[in-house]
Amino acid sequence: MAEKEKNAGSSAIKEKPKEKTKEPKQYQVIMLNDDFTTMEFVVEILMDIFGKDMKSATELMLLVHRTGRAAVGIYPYDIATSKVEKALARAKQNGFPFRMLVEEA
Amino acid sequence: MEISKEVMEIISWSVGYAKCNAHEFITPETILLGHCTDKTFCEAFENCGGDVEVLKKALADYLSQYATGNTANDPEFSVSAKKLLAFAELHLTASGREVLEMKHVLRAIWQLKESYAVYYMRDQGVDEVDMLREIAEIQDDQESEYLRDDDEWDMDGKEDEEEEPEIEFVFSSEAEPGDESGPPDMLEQMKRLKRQRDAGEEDYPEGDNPSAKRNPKASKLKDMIPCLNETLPDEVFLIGREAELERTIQVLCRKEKNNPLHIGEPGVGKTAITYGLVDRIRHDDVPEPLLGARVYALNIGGMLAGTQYRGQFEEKFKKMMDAISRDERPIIYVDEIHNLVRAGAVEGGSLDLANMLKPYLADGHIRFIGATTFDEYKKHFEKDRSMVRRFQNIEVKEPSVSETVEILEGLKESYEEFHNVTYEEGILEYIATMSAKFINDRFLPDKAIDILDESGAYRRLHPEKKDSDGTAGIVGKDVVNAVLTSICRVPVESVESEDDAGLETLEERIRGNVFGQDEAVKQVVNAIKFSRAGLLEEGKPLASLLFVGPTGVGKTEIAKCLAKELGVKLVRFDMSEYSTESTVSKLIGASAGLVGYEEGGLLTEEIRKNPSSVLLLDEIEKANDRIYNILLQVMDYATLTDNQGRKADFRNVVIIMTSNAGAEMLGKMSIGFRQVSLNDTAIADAVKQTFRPEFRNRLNKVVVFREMDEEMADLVVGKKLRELSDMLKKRGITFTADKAAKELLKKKGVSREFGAREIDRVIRNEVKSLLVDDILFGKLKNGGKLKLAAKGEEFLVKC
Repeated sequence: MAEKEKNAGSSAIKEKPKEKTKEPKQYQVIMLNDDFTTMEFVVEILMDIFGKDMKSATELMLLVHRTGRAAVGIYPYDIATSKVEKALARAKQNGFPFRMLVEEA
Repeated sequence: MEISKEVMEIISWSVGYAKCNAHEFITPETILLGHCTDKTFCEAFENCGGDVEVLKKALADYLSQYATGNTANDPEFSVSAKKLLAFAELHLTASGREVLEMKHVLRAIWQLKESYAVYYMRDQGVDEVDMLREIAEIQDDQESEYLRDDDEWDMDGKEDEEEEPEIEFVFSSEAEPGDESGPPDMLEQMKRLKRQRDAGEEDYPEGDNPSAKRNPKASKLKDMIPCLNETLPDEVFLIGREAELERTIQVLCRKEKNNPLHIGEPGVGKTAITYGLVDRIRHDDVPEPLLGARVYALNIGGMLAGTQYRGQFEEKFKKMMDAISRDERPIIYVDEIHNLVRAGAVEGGSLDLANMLKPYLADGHIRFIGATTFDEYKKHFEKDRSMVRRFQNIEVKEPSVSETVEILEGLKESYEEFHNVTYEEGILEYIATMSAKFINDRFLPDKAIDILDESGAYRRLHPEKKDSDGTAGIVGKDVVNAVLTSICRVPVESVESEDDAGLETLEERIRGNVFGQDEAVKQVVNAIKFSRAGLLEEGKPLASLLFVGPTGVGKTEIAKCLAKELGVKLVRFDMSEYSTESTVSKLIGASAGLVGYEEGGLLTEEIRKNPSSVLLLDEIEKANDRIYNILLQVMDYATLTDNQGRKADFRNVVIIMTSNAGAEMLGKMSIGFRQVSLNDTAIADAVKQTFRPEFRNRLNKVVVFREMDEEMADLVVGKKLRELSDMLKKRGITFTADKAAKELLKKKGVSREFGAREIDRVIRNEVKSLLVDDILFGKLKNGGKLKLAAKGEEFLVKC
């Protein structure tokens, strides 16, 4: 943090200026389509890890299936990456080459 | 790699919290929230200007928004949390340390990308460097020697009872943290540590002292405000001064406003009184209300040091006062208390150290002893009336000579030991009296102690023949005189001095240079002799003489000669420079508001620099009338006060004033048919007209100089030729003059009007002009012989 001297005439006061801090950026989790991951698994992931209800999960899954990619949700960087990692780990466990991305929102 | 106890606790807590609140992840934010349970972290955070409660809330909100949603499994470490621990470990090994401490974890947090933890901290104005520094300081203080050995800041031991921060384990005791994925060795360690701790084993890594969470910055406090009870050496400080000490103790025992303020001239012993009091407290030689009091000396410089930002100074101050208030009977000694006013104030602000102290002053629990001088008191302290009100003034006067002798008696031993000398019997009285007499700008006992000290040093550096007992010798009157002379630059004699021989011949020596003015010479020499014999009245200059007479007869010459023979400086002022009123101010200093106010007066400065000198005021009738008024007091009391109130001491000055009043009488007289020589009464009349009666009254004598006559002319010619010969000798030329030349010179050069200067002119115009060509270019270029002869009215030069 830069410390500038406040020039108030001949004053010798040094004050710590308040820099406007930027809020961290939000990131979105993108799900990508692949030909091997089952639909059920995707819905499961969306519900368990990303907290979606059945209906939204199914819709999202169909969206991905049709268009190839869909935004799952917007989270802080840490949470986003953690969730993605969790999902990928589970996918690997089940033998699916599931892909997810974290992008700036 | 080991994990310190505090980090272990923080992480356990974080894990517990996440589990209890059904978080999906254990994020760095959770870990930061865990930090908020650690006292050191909280304190450092507050010191950096943050609010821990705000931080906690922000973090809790974030977590409840983003981290919740998992009921099935135990929370896992999030990606960033794992990175965090990895970074921390990396830092640890990179710095070669073994134990993972909070600072490593914190630094790692700051390195995370897009972290809300960092954002929340930064948002409150706390940055990484400050935090780390604060934590380091706090931890240093906890480990410092000062605290281990000395419970000074912790009188009652209350702070010892503080326990480690409580760990709020909010989950059931069976669940184990760290079952999930995380850096394996870290988690393993944590598990192990937790088990050990639960089992009651202590496995603290080094340096983690739980009970040392005491008064932070105490080591700094020691610099700011050392305790005199400890730091004062064990010697005698105070002798006598019973009355002042009594009064001081009395004031200290008051209920309110119990703050004595010692006021006195510099060097009279104000600090000594306080040190004496501390000494007595140490030996329990004080009345009951003061028993066991602890005296602290306030070091304002130490307090101001390092404070850059607004508020840091006030913070330091508050901490210090809190620490001191915990004592039972604190006394704070503030030397040079006038410094308080305006100390530590932000420019333009009115909250300075004095104002911050006022509530403590009035309260009465902490007592203050102040010391200052009259001048400083008037200049600074009195300006703040509410400060003045809270103190009780105790005037510390200069001790008398006999009291000083007592003080010196008491101090004698320590100086004897230090310098390895012995002080003669009766030398102490001599020192006290002499210093009182000769040193004017300082006060007893300071100046007497100075002489005592320096004579000891002198003797040590110039030891007498080695005594059998191995000391460097005895300090006797001769040593003291030598020291006094070099300090005051006034020749100090004792009764049996060798200078008397010089005095006897003084008259002859001066007469050898100044011809024909025996009366004047006698007067001048008498003045000196009177003072050496101790016949002079106290409080007057050595002599105040007025020389009147025609020009060129030796008035200035006498002064020069006298100064040379006595070995003192000739201070010469040509009064014709001071003919206007404003220039007279140059002598004693310009008044306030005029340019040159700070420079002081010329005359006073000269005399102050040369307290023993010959003061020559030439052509005094040409000066402005104000001069006489100034001189009146000089001649009567031998002091002159300059524009700033400092006094110059004229007691060892010979004042010679010259005047040409009445010289024109001479010319008038000689016009007449008869050769009437100068009548004394005529001159006296002229003097009476020019100088006012009160001025003339104070003179020792008005000396009338005789005009130039044959006899004098003879001698003067001889002298001038001798001077010429000396000049030529330097160029290797021997010069002689025959009788005829001398006669001619005399005839031409004697002038009643112009005195001896006429001879100078004759020599210059007629003799030197003959020589100069030869000397430079001709036969005498490399030296030779020269003879001056006269032919008729002309001079001849024979080589």
